[in-house]
Amino acid sequence: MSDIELLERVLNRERLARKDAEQLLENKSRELYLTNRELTALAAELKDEVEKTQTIMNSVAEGMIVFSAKGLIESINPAAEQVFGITASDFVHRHFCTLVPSLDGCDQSTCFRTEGLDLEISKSDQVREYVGVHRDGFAIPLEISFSQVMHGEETFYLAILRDLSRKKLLESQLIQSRKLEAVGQLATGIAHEINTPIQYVGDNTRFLQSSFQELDVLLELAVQLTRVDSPESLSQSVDALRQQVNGTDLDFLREEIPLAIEQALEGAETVTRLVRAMKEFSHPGSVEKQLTDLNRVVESTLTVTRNEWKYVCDLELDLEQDLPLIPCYPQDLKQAILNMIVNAAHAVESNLAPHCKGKLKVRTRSDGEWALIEIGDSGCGIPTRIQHRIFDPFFTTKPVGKGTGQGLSIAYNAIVNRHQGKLDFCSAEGEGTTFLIRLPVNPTESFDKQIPTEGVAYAH
Amino acid sequence: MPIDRAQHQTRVLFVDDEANVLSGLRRMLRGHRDRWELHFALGGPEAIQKMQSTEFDVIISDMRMPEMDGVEVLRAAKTHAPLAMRCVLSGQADREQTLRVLASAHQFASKPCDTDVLEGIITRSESLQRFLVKQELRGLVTSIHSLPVLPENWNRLQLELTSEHPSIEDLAETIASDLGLAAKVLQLVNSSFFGQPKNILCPRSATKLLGSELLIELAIHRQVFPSRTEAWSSALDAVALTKESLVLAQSAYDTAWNSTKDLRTAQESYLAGMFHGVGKIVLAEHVPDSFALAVGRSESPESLLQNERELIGADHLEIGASLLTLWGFPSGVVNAVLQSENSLNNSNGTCIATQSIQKALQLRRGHACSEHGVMV
Repeated sequence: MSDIELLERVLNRERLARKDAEQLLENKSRELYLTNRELTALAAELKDEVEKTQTIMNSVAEGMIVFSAKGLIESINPAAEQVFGITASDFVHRHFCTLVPSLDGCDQSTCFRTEGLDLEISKSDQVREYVGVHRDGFAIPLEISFSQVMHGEETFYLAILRDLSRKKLLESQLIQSRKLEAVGQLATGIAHEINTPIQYVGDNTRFLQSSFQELDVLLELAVQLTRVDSPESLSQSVDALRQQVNGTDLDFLREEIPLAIEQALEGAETVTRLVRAMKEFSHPGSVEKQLTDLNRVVESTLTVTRNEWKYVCDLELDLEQDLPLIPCYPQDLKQAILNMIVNAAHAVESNLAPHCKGKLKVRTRSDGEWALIEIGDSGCGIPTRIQHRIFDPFFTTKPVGKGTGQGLSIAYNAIVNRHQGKLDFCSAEGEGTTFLIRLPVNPTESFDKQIPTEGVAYAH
Repeated sequence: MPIDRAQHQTRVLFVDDEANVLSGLRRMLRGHRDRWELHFALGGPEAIQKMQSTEFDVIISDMRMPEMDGVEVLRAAKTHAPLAMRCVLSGQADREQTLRVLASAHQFASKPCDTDVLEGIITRSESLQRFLVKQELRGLVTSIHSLPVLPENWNRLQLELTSEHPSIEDLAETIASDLGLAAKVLQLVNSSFFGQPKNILCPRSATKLLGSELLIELAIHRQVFPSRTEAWSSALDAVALTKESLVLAQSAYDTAWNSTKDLRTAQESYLAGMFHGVGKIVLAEHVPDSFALAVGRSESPESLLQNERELIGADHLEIGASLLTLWGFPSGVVNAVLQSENSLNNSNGTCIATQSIQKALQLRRGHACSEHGVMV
């Protein structure tokens, strides 16, 4: 093979190789181009996706906060910003507990334990109420549901929260209106309770007025008798007096006048007692717990509600005389007892045979640890199938206009949540219901915490 | 049938569940012991027991009582004491109970009440006994709960009350132009349950005071104003009577107003004119045959009264006056109705309302006779 031949071969091979290389390059370039196009599209898609997520996060009505396992905030959406009155950028990398200090696991130091939170999340019912802190310092009632997000090795938490301020406001307005409704109903009853004694106070007094006029004539004649100066006028005066005495029903008057006075006084006393009970009942009370005589609370509540029950029940009152004074909010307690007495009266009324009366039994006791108030009736009883619902707000079996279904729910809240007490009942359909209120004699200081506890029927 | 009792003391039964109220009433009314025989029952069952053994002229019952409330007591009184005037004396205006007792009670008083109110009620019952000596007729009048309403007015009332926004003006217009409606509305407004301290004498004001909401309750749900068209007797042209009564009322009003310039007197005269024929409605509805016979035999108003007394036992003026008394109309109106047919010349010493209705009737008759030859 000549050199030229050799060179030509080499050249040929080189040419082929180059052609191959060019082909390869072209293929690779195309591949690259295609990949690039795909990537651009993907990037655009991703960007779009992120923007979409961001838009959703931004426009969702619920507040959303993402924080790390250490409790450090990663992101806050505008709804959450609005709830707390903050700007997200100022709060990123700050502690979640600064926003919701009532969260389990938050303590004074910045250290954050997630065990409580994990436990919380593991429960089926994840939505709970917390109290958040607004930038301006006031408390915000919140409803928060937490979820755990795993990303690679990292764990995040997502808090979805709703501001309950408006709901709480409406609730308190409803409770207020329920109270006003009760007051209106009571006012009618109390008017009747007052009108009756006023009627006989008036009647007796009018009788005393006319009786005095009759007696005054006699007295005048008697006085004249003391002033006689001659035997003739003496016999004249005696005759006049005798005649008047015979014409007056003295026996009747002497028997009836003391009774009239007694009953008029009795009427006045009834009114006084009622007005005093009303004053006691409606006394605004303090914002703090005060030592309270439960017997008096029970008695004044029974007095102001007398018109509600006296036509349908006979009262059996059994009060333990040396009941200890209990620290409590008397207003809330009276409201609770009132609701239960009115309920008892309604229950008895609906279970009454014609021309009969039922029973209302009220008892107080103490066992050293608890003070007990028992309110029992011989009413219709609570059917077993609804017993678990009776403390639910707005649950009622009464016809429209007869009740709003808040009575027992208010009572429950007052006794269990406000006083750390217990409210149980036992009921037999057609025979009656007994409610048992138990209040701690020495409550611990951390009251007022909203612990959802269940009302339990203690016996059947 | 019970024999008509001769002159006797008026028997009153008070029912209350509070012993102190009863003894207070007994003492307060002691001054009347010569005129009235007072009985007291502590609660409904005792009241019914007493009704079964004694014939009462008035029953005055409390409303809220255990075992048996006032509604039941007065309902029982309809059976056991059919001649008695039935009244409520209550310390509580419970709307539901009030509406339930409407069908059984003639009058309502509120606790606390003065002696005058109770004396007034019992005195009314005495008038009733005087107007209607025949017990059967007294039983008839005490059993009347409502007067028939003219079908046209009844339809107008129903239409207005079931419309979306009832107009109180239109309601007042309808009620003021119907004898049955106006009488019932005046009775209700002047009962203490609806809380009018003074007597309301104008049917229009009465309607407005009652209000459309309560009227709906009364007319639609409680059927207080029934339309008993079938009850209209052929003996009575009710449309003509209504028309004539309203003209007469206005005439009596004008007469009284011109002579006294006193609104109350003029209003009483108006009511006397409006209701002077109310007894005819009662007779035409309840004793149609005898009433038709009496009308057929009569040539003048005087002879009609005479024939009614002979055939029925009382004339329509006595019946009308009794009903108005039971329903609590002022005695001025009652007396004017009762004496409306007395001759004008004998009216010296009678009250203005009586003179006004007498004069109005005379004017009207002169007019009508000359024009149509119709007897009013």
